[in-house]
Amino acid sequence: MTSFPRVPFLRMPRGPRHERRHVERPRHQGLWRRALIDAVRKLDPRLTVTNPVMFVTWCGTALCLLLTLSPDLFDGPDAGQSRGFNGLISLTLLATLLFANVAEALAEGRGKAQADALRRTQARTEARRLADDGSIERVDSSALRRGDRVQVEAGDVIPADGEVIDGVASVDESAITGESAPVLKEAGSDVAGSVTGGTRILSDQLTLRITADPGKGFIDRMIALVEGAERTKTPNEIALTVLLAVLTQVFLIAVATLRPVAGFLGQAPSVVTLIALLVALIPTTIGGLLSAIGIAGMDRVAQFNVIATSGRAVEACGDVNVLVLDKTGTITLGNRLAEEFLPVGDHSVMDLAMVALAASCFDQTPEGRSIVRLAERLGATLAFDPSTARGIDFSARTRMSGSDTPEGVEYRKGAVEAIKGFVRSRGGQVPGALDDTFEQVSSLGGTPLAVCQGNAVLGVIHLKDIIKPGIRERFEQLRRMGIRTVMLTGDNPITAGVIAREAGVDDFIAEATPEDKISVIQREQALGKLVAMTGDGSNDAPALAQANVGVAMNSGTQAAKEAANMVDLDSDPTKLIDIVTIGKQLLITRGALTTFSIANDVAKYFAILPALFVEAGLGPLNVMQLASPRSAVLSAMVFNALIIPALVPLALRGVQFRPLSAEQLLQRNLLIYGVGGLVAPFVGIKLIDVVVNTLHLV
Amino acid sequence: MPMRLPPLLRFWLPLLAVVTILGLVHALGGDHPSAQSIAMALLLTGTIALAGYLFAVIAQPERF
Amino acid sequence: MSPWPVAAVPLVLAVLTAPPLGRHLDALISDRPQPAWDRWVGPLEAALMRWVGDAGRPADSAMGYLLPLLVSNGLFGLVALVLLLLQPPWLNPLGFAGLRPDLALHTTVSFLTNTDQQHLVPETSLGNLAQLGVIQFLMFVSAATGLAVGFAVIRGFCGRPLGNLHRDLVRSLTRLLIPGALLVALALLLCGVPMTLAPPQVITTLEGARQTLPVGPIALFEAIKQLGENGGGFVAANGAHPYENPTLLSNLISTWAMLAIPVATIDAFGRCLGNRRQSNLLLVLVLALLLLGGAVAMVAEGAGNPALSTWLDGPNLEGKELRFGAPLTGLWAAVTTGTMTGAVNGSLDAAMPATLVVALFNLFLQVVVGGQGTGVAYLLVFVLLAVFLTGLMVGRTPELLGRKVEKPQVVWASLVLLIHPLFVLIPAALTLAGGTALAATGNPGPHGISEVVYEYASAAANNGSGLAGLGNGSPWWNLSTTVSLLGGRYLPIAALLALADGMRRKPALAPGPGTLRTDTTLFTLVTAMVLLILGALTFFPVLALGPIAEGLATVS
Repeated sequence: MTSFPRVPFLRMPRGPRHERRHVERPRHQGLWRRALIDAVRKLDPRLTVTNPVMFVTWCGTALCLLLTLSPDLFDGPDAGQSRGFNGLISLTLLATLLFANVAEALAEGRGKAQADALRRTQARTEARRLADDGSIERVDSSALRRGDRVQVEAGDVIPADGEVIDGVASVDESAITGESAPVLKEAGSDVAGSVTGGTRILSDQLTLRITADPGKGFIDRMIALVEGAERTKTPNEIALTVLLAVLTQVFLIAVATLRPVAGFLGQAPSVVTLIALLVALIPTTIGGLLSAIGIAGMDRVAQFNVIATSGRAVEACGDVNVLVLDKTGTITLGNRLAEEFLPVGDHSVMDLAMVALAASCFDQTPEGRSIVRLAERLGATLAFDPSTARGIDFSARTRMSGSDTPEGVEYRKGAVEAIKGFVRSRGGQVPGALDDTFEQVSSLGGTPLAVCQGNAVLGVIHLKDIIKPGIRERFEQLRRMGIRTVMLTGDNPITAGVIAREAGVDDFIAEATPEDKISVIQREQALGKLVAMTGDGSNDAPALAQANVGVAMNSGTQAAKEAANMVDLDSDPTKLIDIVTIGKQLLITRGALTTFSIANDVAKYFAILPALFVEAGLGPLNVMQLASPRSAVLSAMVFNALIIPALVPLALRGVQFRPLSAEQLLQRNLLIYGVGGLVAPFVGIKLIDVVVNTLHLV
Repeated sequence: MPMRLPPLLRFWLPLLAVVTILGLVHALGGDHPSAQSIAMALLLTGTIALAGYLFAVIAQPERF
Repeated sequence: MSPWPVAAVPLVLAVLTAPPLGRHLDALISDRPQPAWDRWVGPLEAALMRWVGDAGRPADSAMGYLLPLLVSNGLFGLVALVLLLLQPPWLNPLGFAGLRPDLALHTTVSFLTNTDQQHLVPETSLGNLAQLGVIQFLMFVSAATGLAVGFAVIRGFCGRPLGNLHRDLVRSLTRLLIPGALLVALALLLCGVPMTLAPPQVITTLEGARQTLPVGPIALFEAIKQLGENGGGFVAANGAHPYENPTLLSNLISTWAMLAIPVATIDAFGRCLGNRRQSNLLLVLVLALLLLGGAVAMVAEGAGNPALSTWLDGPNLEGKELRFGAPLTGLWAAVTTGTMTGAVNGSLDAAMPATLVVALFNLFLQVVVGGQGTGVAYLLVFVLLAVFLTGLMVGRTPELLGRKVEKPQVVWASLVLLIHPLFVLIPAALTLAGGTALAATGNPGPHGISEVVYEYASAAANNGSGLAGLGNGSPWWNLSTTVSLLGGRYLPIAALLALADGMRRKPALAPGPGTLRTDTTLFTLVTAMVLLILGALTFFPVLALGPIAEGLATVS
């Protein structure tokens, strides 16, 4: 009984993310026991009433049980009602209800187990609140309010969500991310400035401003979400519920009118057989599994370490037409590396390397360090003592960095336009060859950085972008699924174009600003398209809110996480592609089981109707050659009940998604679930009939 | 999420059900209805109520 | 002579006339200028619109189209009801009295809803004023109403505003139904159909008996009866009577006239959408279903009754006109039920069970070409349901013609699915619960079930044909079928308009590799399966207990 609920991960291309060490996931202990108890509890009609198909089944079951106790209720003692037969039908009906409940409870159970694990991190702690006068008072973490300031130090559990206002410290966030490597938190930084309640500070000390009242924090919301406490039906689920209710209504009328119609021939069928026919015809298979499919979809997203704020968001993923992706971190590896020095004018490579080294010696970014490494490999040495010089940091306004020596020599490297401006401002000339070199680097997909010393331009550093392995294939798959990818990058158009071509994205926006992101999204949405994007910075928040699916990185700011409808705990932007697949899988599973359920009805008619009306001469319609009318009805009911547990694994795991075109997918799934749904019950009912008669059940 | 009926319906529905049952008992069993015809009248009323419930789901699925 | 080539002629003709007629209809739907028509009938239309007091602006909501439809139909019905109740002496040479209230109501509603179910014998109860002023008038306006709904639904699915009801009513009369009916009437006149206001002819038969032969303005009546999918006969024998349908040629013209407009409307949908591949595939689908049904009926009637094979060989000639023969009567049965016309050229009550299965199936589905204007609308509903049921399997929220199918669309479309169970199965069950007395049938067996179910199916599908073994003149029949007539006409119209209006408000997405295209052979097959399964699942029990049980009994 232990192996069943362990639903495997989706089989998808695995990136470096999977190689990381994860902490132990919550074990699904007692999942089955809890599911069975829940299944019985869910027999409460006040809970069943939310599911029209199962509520009708519930009513039928209650009536059948009544007819088992008192078989002559409707037709009098002469009709020859059999208590045993009624009892058997009641049992199959009860089994149908319980199986559906177990499916839902199993799906919920996995979320609950995860919620329990999260809740354990939430144990109350004592917090040191800073009063306005700077004194420290010890209060319970539940007494903290938004805006309070607290102090935490090594070993403490952070009492609530907050932002760092002072200090640098490393924090263990494994409780929420499953990532064991500690994260550096410091004040003032956009990304590293926010901390989450329930995580543990490993070293040093931080002063925090609390950003969430008790019970409203990030972990609280996560618990509510994975537990399904706030679960409401998604739009597509609602539409499907309507259709299922209509089909149920149609069959209710068809079956209820059957008694007087057949009564005209003097052959009114018994109420129990009519209930059996009704339950066989109404789409119990999809009706029973519908909510389980939805919950399991959320859960699969959670297994990818992504927290979705609603089922609606997961469902919307399946509909996404456009993915807006940042180049850095998603399409290319985060770091660009210096590839080559390209001098201009009569400067030599060594001259250029010396100046590049001088301009980069204070630069701690990966790009800067790679320039230093390349320069040193070429034998360049630093022409001044770094302890006396001053480093000039990169800023978005100046778009260059460098160093100034005490003698007044200015070394600079930066965007070509910025360096041109700098050189001109110092009274220098820009050599014509600079533009040629610039274009040469751009056309190779590299990022050109111009280097100057004072008013002299020495040349260009070629920074090379490394495209993530396998990304091209992913985009190819997306294209086949009908999803367009748009790359956003701060690079110049030529570089961006080359990388876009290499990575295989459909479109790109070069020299993009945060405002460009939102305008791209709005433009696509105006065409009726659904847009998904990832983001982490505060300036991504409006775009994340605007996008139909916004995935915020957990490493990102609180603002971004609030605006997004999903949070990726691993902060891996490529995951968006996996989430889209899960959304599609969710819809396909629903569609497949609906088709299967409805196709099943054909066989059920052929099993039950001839059995009901042998005397009206419908015997020849008994194409399955079922042994007796009663065994035919019972077999159909047993099949109807058993098909639910048989399909539970499919509902929880989801139909496997293949990146095919819509036409191919339809053809494939129709063959499996449509034609399969037509044929399977013929075989199944016949087999059950053989068993029923071997065991002399009726 | 248990459904809650609007107050107006909470008053009229039971009344309507009683009237339906009485009418059906009369239609099926005449002046001296047998136990079977009373049971059948109850069953029919129940079926009608179930159909009404399904119509409610179709009209306002969000409420369920 | 083999019946197959003769049977093929009207079908081929209907396919050949579809493109020109479709182009004409598309011009009406898309409101394109038609210079010749504008010059000749434009002023008349403008005058009529002024008289109605409608500026002709398109409706901005479904209600804006539905409300004038209900008001205009209500007014038409009211006038007709009063005239039938009173039957004033004008143009009433035989002095027929006013109709009984329940019969007058049923007749009015029946003709108002384009059904033309007749619970009376027209030649012995209706004067020429009633025939012309009530029946024929309602035949024109009910067909125009159906067309208007079809236009509005097509516009909605193509993403345009629904249009103006009065304008559509007027223009479908002036530019299609009246000129079309005049042309068909002329052709029928040449075949020998009478067109006169003369009193009935009284003749002495060969046996010496005196017989009254009712004549009247039949040719025009016949033309709009067939062309407008009405089907109510000038005489009770309908198309089996030599004055309504004298020759093989008139039979051919009449069969074509039933098909012409529904087939062309589907073609017009494709033109309006700018995707004729879509409409052609839908046409192939419905024509294939029609051909299949027609072939089954022709074979069944041609093969004769197996229960009688000990004594009789050859076709089932019971209730047939020998000038058409058994197979052509079978074909007519399939076409008249498929197109919701309801005219007959033989006795359906005497048809073989297989023919009845075909006829009932056509009535249940309502899309085997389908009725005037409403046929294409129902077809789109089924396409939408097929999209919703199977479209999820491509992993997206289902889209039809680039527009997302969401809850409101599913609600309105599925409402259409519920009409028949509500207005066919429930009244049929009530009637059958009352036994042979209430049903007024002499057939206590499965055939009685067929008769009762057929009567309500014909009413709810606005078809009008019936199995004549039923004594359907009783108040119960008149009133209960009136409910089915109204429910089967106006509820779906309301749902269809709401559906179309909802569709047109959605943004349309250009199709990509991830969207499920509906204009493919695969999807057309899917639609066919969804049609058959949804139709069959609802009605299999009554089909099984009615004609199927009857058929199995005749075989064994």
